[in-house]
Amino acid sequence: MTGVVARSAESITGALRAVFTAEQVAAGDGFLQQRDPRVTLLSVSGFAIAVMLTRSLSVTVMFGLITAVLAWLSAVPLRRLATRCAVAPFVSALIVFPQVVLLPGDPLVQVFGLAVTDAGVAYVVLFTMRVGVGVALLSLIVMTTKFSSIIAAMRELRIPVTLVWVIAVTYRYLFLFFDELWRLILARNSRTTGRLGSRGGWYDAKQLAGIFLLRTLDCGERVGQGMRARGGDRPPSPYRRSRTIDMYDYTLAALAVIVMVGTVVIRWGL
Amino acid sequence: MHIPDGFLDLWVAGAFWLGSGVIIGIAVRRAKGELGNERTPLLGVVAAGIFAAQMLNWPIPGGTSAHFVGGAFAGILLGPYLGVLAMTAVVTIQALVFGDGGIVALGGNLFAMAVVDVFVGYGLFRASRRFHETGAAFVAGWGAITVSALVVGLGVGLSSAFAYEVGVTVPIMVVGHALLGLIEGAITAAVYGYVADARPDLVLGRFSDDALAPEVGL
Repeated sequence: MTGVVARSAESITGALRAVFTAEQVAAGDGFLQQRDPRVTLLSVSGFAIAVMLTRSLSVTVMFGLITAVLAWLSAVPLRRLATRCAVAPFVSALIVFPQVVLLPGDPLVQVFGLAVTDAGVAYVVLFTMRVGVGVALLSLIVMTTKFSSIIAAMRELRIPVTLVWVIAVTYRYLFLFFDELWRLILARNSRTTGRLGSRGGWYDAKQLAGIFLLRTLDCGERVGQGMRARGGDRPPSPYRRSRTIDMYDYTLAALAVIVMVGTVVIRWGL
Repeated sequence: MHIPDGFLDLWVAGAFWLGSGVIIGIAVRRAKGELGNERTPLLGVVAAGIFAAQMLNWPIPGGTSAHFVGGAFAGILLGPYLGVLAMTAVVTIQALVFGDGGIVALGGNLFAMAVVDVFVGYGLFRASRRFHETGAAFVAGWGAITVSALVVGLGVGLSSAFAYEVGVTVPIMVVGHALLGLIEGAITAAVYGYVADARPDLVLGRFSDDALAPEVGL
């Protein structure tokens, strides 16, 4: 496969690979996998809030260590976590890199007549670390908590059932439509010889997207008819999973609260 | 367009959560009124289709390619409130399944891509479709992505965590996305034209005089 078709196929394959890898880890028997999904969601969000609050490099490094320990306890391979999280901090570092000379401070070194300041370097390092830890925390949720459990947690956290159910149905049909799109791409590729120019590629993509969306809408109609035939309105019970919150759940939640309060105290000296 | 955690101050992220929470709450109520409890979830099927369509690469000169975002298209096809719900599902799954964006920044991403993108796209399409329908879809796609970028630029520019101020972030985001938005506009127009030709009954206002799309056949 070449050109646009190949890139589309790569996008789908890449997305599926990321999801399947995460689902494999989430099916494991680690610390976060055994936690109640509500506790995981709220506690990791608490850590993320604390990371957003801090302006101290040492505190950010501490959060990085907490994230690494949580990943280790949850049998998440650290290299895989790092690979997954590398792009956002790298791009963020590039974006804020000019601050090494823009921020006023004590000059460390002169580069092409510009003074690299200590404040500038400290800011770039801190900002990149904060983004990296934030992305790693989100990745921990993705890699340790099955999405069906997150949906159940959303319901138990009183998010409106309509919204939760729309998200659940989107997730349920997503892979079916990835497969549908993949088959359309393969079918088109098998009937195409030579290389398409930009114009031809654009025409191809338009046809593919149009046909694909029409099939999607047809599928929606068929699902709707099927649902009406079965009697329609039923509560979204398959995702309802209640379990007892145990001592480890309470410990994780307490740790999240402590680090949030601690970060506020360190930053504002309350 | 996804904002990762670390770019926004907590108060900015909170304001985005509040804004998107209110609009999504209204959208949920309106959706239940328009579709009923039992059929609203079927929006998820359309949302999944839009999500999967984002995987398609569109060639642009120079050998590279661009992706469809789809907020404006969702607004045109479903109407603003149902479009907001569909895009909320897309952005939430992007974050919690694919790890795009951030946990704290999810409110900002929802506000930019599920609220502003959809409403601006819908508004621009509705205002300009009397002149030229496919042209209106182009304007909707282009304008929606540009205004969403403006909102993101404001959010990160107002945050003290990000060293660049609004005077830098807004022009960079707006100019950059006004250019990239030409691609989104062209994709929106192309897809809209195709769907409108094949299934005119699905498209906003064609048969119901400016009412929402006739339940998108759900």
